Amino acid sequence: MGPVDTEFWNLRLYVAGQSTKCTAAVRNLNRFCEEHLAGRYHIEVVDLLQNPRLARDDQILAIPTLVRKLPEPLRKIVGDLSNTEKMLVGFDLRPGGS
Amino acid sequence: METHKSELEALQRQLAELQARLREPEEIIRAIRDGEVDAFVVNDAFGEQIYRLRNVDVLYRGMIEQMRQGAVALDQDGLVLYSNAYFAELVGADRERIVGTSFFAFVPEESRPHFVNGELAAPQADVLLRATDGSPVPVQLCGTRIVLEGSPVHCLIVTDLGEEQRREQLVIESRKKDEFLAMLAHELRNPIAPIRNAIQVLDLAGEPDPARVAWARQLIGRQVQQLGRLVDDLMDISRITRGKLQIERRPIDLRSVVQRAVETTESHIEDRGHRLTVELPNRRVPVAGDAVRLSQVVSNVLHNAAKFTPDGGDISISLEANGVDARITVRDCGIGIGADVLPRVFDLFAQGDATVERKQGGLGIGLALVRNVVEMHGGRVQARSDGHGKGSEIVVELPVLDDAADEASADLPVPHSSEHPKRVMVVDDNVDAADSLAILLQMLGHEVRTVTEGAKVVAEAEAFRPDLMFLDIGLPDVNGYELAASLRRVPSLHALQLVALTGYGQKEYRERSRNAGFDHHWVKPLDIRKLESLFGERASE
Repeated sequence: MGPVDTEFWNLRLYVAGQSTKCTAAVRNLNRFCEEHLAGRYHIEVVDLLQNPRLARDDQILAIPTLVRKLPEPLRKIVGDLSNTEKMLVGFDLRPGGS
Repeated sequence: METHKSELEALQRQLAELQARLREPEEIIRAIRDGEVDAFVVNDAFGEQIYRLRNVDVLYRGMIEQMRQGAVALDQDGLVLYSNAYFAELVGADRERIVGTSFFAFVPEESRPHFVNGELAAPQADVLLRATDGSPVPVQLCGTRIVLEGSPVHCLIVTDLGEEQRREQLVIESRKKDEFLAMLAHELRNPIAPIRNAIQVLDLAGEPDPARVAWARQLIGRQVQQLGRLVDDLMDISRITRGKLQIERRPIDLRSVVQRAVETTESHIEDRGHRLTVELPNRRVPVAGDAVRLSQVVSNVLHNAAKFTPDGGDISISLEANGVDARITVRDCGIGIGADVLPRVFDLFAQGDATVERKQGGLGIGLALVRNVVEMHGGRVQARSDGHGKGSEIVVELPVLDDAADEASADLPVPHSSEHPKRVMVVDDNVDAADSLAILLQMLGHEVRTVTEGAKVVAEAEAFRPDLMFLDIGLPDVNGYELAASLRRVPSLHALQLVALTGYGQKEYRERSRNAGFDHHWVKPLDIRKLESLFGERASE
């Protein structure tokens, strides 16, 4: 069992207002976390429309972007997070990534 | 061979690094191609900007975001997907952080039944929400379900019912004030008419007829007293509504407060043929209080009891104390207080029995003043009644002062405890005001001199050497405060009691007076009780 299976996940989702993609991302992320990380995650939603400067923190270009701050390593996933498989791979929760 | 192997490894490492670095840009490109991206962060001359790919729905967006109603969209799990500023503000949440939190954090237990499967069960419902600080937020919710990207989204329009209630309250209060003003105008006219008549009678009479003059004088006296009471009440109403009622607390004996109140209302009670029983304890009842205001409280309650009891009734007042609280209970067997009125009986502008009020005159402020003054003393007042025709009981509770306090303290501030005549100087540029006060003081047995020009005051004071001076602050030719300072500099006047008289009672003026060296600051017109207190009074025990 590696850290991704046991540790606490700190996730930050960058959105821009309540566009369709961004609201979809919020919804999908919550569902993903409930299913795969139940009880050991924290989601912070950062609305860049309210404060664009916050994009600097994680070098955000496209919105929505999900950033996994913890556990390391830092990982980013761009898009509405509707593809669960891709997220599992992207976060090393499934073998198949590299 | 070794170098080839290490070169190969180095190349492999570099390749791996490149691939790792490419991962993110490829990811972004893929997401854009797949239409999963809505907006970009772009650096222009002003810093980071958000460029959005689509900007349709501007009208609807503006409407939803700026309307004076709450709008919030929830997913199936009750998570807030969207909230406009109005809703966030209504529930005291941060606009930037409310997305992604649970809507049900704002729904208290008792309101849960309104929701089924994360949605409002009925199309519309009045629901009590809870703000982040725990305060109740009554709202009307209107729910609709829409489908977004294949998933159901529950949209709620939130109407603040609290605002409607607040508006209703304002309308009611405004109407009450209008009614009050109408009653006030009526009440003020009442004393003025007979005064005008009496004056006309005096004017018309040829030779001064002593009987007629006496009649006129008494009438004018009574009516002016009534007018004075109305004006005093009006000022108190103003102070109460502005939260500016002031009291001065000193160690006093509640027994003499009650006695004074009984004296004040005795004649009214007798006029109505009522029987009054008074019960006082043997021991002192020390309280830190404003004697004048507290006897006003008690006499207001007694006056009320007399007013609302049919002629020939029974009224009782009793004072009891243990070491902690003192209790004044006034009972009457009069018309009582209805259960619907009981909770509001101490409110300003409360609806009482309007017909009885009007017959007997007055502004109906009595009980509101009672509550304000009692609460300012750290006490409380309650009204009880078994209903119409069953009499009522009003109970005033006040905290008792620690008995270790000064036993020798007097009831009212008495700078001169003797009744020896004093030399008093009255300074006022208004001749009528100065003369009338002077005559009053002379009738109390004092030697009086009046000065109507500020410039002459110091010289006259040095010559006359008054014990007490009433100084009108609003003199036209001289600054009252500077005059006080000048008087204080005269060595022979160091024991002079200086009383500032003004039309203003506000706190800033009182403080200025104190700083300028005045011993008292009184507002015109003077109450004769205040005068009596200054010169000492009849012993009350």
